[in-house]
Amino acid sequence: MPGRLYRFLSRQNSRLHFYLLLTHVCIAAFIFFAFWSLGLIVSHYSAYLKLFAGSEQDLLRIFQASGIGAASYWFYKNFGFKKSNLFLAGAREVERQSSYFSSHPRQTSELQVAASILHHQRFPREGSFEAAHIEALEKKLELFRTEILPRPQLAGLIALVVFSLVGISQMNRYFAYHLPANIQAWQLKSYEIQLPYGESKWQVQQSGVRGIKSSRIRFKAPDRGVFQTYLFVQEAFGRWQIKACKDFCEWTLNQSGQFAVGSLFARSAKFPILVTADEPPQAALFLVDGEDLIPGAELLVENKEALEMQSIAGDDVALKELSLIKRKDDKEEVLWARTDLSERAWRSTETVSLLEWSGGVYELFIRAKDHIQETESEPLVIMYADEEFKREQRIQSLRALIGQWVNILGDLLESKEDGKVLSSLSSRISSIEYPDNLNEELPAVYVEELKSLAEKIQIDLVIGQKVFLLPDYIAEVEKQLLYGLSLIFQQRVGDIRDSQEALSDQRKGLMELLDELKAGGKQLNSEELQKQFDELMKRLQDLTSKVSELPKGPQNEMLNREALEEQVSQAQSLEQQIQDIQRRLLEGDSETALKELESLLNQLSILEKEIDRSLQQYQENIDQGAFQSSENFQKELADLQKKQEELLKKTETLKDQQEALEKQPFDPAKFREQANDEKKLNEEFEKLAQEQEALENEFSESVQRFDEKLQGSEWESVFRSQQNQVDEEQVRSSMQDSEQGLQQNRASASITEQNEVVEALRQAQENQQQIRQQIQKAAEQAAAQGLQRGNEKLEIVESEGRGEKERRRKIMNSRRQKVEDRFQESHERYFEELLQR
Amino acid sequence: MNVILKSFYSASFIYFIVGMQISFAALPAFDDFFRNREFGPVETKESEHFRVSWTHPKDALIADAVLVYLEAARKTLAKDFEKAFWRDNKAPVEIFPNLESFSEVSGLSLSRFRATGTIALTLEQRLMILSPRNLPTGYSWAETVVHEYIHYLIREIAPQHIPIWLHEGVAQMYQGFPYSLAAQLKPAQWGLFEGRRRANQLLSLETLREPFPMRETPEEAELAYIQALLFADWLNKQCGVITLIVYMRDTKSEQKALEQCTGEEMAKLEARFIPAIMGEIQVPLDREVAFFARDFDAESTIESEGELAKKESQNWALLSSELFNQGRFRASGIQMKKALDSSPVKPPSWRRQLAIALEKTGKDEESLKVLKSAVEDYPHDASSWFLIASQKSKRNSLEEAWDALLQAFYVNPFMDGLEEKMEQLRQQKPELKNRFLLRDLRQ
Repeated sequence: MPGRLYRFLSRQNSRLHFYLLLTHVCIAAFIFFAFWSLGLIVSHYSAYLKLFAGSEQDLLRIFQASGIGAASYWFYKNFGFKKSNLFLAGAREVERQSSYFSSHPRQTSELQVAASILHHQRFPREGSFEAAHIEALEKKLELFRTEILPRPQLAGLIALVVFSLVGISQMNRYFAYHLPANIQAWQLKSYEIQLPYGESKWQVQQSGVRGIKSSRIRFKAPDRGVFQTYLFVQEAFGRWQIKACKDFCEWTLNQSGQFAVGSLFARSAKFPILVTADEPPQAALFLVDGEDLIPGAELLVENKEALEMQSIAGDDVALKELSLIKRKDDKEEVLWARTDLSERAWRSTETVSLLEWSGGVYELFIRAKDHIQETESEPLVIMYADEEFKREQRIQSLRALIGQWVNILGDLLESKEDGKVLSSLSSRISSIEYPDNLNEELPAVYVEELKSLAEKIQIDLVIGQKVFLLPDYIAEVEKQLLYGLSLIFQQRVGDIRDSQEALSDQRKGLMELLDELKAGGKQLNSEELQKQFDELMKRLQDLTSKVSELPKGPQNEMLNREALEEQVSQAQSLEQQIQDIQRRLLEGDSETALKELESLLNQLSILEKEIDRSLQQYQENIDQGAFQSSENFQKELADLQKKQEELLKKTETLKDQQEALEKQPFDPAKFREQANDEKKLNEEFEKLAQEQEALENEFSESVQRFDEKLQGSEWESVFRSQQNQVDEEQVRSSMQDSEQGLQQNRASASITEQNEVVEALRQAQENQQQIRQQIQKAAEQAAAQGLQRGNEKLEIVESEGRGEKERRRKIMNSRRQKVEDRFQESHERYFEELLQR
Repeated sequence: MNVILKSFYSASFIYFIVGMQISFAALPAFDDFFRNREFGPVETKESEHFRVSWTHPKDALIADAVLVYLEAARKTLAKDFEKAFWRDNKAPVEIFPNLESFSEVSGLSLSRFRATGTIALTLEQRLMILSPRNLPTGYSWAETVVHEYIHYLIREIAPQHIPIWLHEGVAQMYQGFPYSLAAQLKPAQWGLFEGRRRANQLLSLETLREPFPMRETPEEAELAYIQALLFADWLNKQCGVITLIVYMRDTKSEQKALEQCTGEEMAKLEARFIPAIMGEIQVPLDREVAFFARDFDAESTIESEGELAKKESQNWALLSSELFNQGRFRASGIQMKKALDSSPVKPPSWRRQLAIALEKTGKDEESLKVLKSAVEDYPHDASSWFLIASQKSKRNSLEEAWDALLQAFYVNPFMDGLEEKMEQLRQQKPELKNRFLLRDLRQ
């Protein structure tokens, strides 16, 4: 184990080592700071001179690098210990600082000797001089033990380094460039501006510095001899920024402020900078209506091939792109586009063709872009009415009307239950809004019928308080509502019977094909089958979409919606089945395909029944309409007329036979034969009499049915007028006379009566038709205030007020006036801006 | 088209067991088939006698209920089917996530599924059902599983030699277990039977031996099921259907077994089948049955039965619906009452709307009465049960509300709002958490 003296010396040596290291680091740092300071001075003053301007930082870096190099070199050269001096230096320092050695000068160097010994031999041989010397000193160790301290110079050195650091930071502050106080005359004649977008070019400007944010500004740098020229910029009263100018003084506009130019010794006066934000482009689209330009209008367009429009756009800097957009149901279509613009203002007039447009509500607008922003003009809303659009409008109008009448039904039902007429009924009836766009035959008649019904309800129930009439009115309103709902259905899908019959034919065709397939007469994968399938799919899709529009009763809303959506998202099951069959055919699985085909046909037959049942209901409701009843009645009369004519022919034949028999002379030999012929003739007369009676009954039933259907209807008195009833009585009476004639074998008399019947039936048919035409005409006249079919129409449904229109007209007139060429642009621009306000 | 699909799907009372007649090759195992498929891993739960597997995560909703329901059914069936319980195994129940996978595993074509409305099969002694998640109105899946389980039990007694009419007849007899211990036909079914009987168009025993779904029309297929049930019921009174099954197993002959059971010669039995056996069945002659006997059309489902109502009633129902949509609930109720009073068929959708209209006008008692009568006639109308539950819960009758929710759950467990409603009740009354049986069957 090392001796106590050895350990002591080791520790003191470490301390000494640390003090030395600290001393050398401080000296190295001082050297580095000295170079840095020098660099600062040189770089700062170099900025004043044109020769060095712009290389300040480089110069500083050179000096900093040199400082690091010099400090490192010095450190490398002066710091380090030789092993031989390891203990010796420590011992020498202890001797120097220990009071024991100061008071015993003769002992000086004893410790150094011991250190030298221990350096060579950590454990000297026992009994030797070295061991004895070490032992002697160890005994005195407590007398000279001391912990060595750093020399006072070290503290001075540290202070010097700290002062250097502070000095550098102060120099940095001192050497900051400031706006010089000396003023030197200078005037900015012109400058260049580059707008903030990619392809923008430098444009020369004469007046004060102004521009939109992010634009670049530059001007020729004034010459200051050997001194460097600088640009001084202050934005929004912030710190002055100093930028060295080369050929140009150049900067980016961010905020308004001021600038000056000069050397670091003297500068020009301060000049203002005006920065504005980029404004979005402005755009407006006008409908050209004769001399007028109509902005932001809502138009109803019917049977028109084109519209004339004028588009105006402008931007504070420059327009880049312009396009006219048509939008419907969030889908946009570009009608025209200009993508290479650089003008500040744009105006164009164009004709927009409507030929390819389908019905619906469109928005037309201008989309204008400058280099930064884009904007859209107020749209022109165009309700383009084609047949489809008009039908949809009619349906909506009808639906709204039915909705109002449903509430009237509600009032009537509740009135009946309460035994008194509800007070709300009166206001509800008087507030019904009847549509004026139902210029179709049936809906127009329907509206007229509802109007009359409303009047009757008002008189009988609201004013007359005839509660006992409530059941009749409820029945009538119910009938009208059902009829109205069926009308909507008819409007929406047209004649569903056609689709149904087409599907039925298709099924029958497939059925026949299946029979042939079974009999082996045809190949399963024939093209014919494929064609049949395609046709069937088409029919199915058509029919199912129509059937889905059928008026529905209560629906189940409480479902597993996820499954429902899944089902809807899948193709319809029958269509899927067809696809399955086609797939199986492709795979060559004919046997299964055949079975599937059979199953499919079975299901189609069920579908037919299903549709038929729904249609029956719908058809019955439609037939409840007075108009339809009249049509049906007329058909029945036509049918009766036909039958009557056939009976007439038979009667005439019988008359010929009768006359022939009467002409025969009495022949006793042929008595039996003649009697037989007479008997046959009588039987024929009897048969025809029965036929006539049947026709009479049929006629009466038909009249009665018609009567029942019209009961309570607005048109009852018209269709069942006194004259009509007289005519019908005439038919009935002639039929009875004809029957009587036939019973009495008076063929001629019967023929005369039958001719009367035929004529009266024909007359009755004509009457029905005429009445319907009259009603229709009246209804159409009532609806004539609405749309006029077939005529070109442009109706401005909504636009700015008349005063505004007048103002625009004046502005436009002023704008059209010519002024001097040089003012023309600003003149037009002024009025355009006015227009856009 | 949807009507057709709906009618086929929701005709939960029709169990077309095509698979019974077709000899299938070994089918892929449920686990193997769904390994690495889109729905996720196969999950399994077991009870004492059943093991249910499913793969669509949402189907976990019915897994516990399937087990509880089947165990309860098995308990009530034990007396009659004692002979079927000779094996110590767990009957596998497989819930298929969609029709496509069901078709692939069962080997039955997709279009056949669609055409026949098949929703469950028992193949290779595996009870396979389509997840009710696939159908917007659900189907009585628990009853269907029991129906399939009866097929399973019959096969446990006699794997072969049982004709389809007996399979279907017996399965229908017992499908109502554990709740309904006696098979009942619906008015529409009685109507069909009676109509055909009057027209001398009943199916012969010979015809009943052919696969039911292969009948010419769905109406005839339905008639086959009805006659199978009625005949099975008649045979049950002779020697007992389970005994008859045992006879068939032992004699390996339908003819010998029937002769043994009835004591009649086969030829005589066949001759008597339509005029005497079917002819003497007492049909309940109420208004509704009479109506269906006149007009029944087999594609009708519960909902489309409304189509069969008198045209006038339909019109009133339509107008009531219009009034309802306009918020005129009182008037809507008046109109719907008129529609229902004049129609022999009272569709549940009409009654539900009436109930809601009544509730909205403050007539809660009357509304509940309407709903109760709806579920009495249409016990599988989940929506009506849901409305009853809502009303009961409003009155704080939580137990009754839970029972009504269970009824809805056993038809359309994935109905919008049902799960949330059940959870709400569970939070109010935690003891309901694992109660999947109605109160009278709770153990």
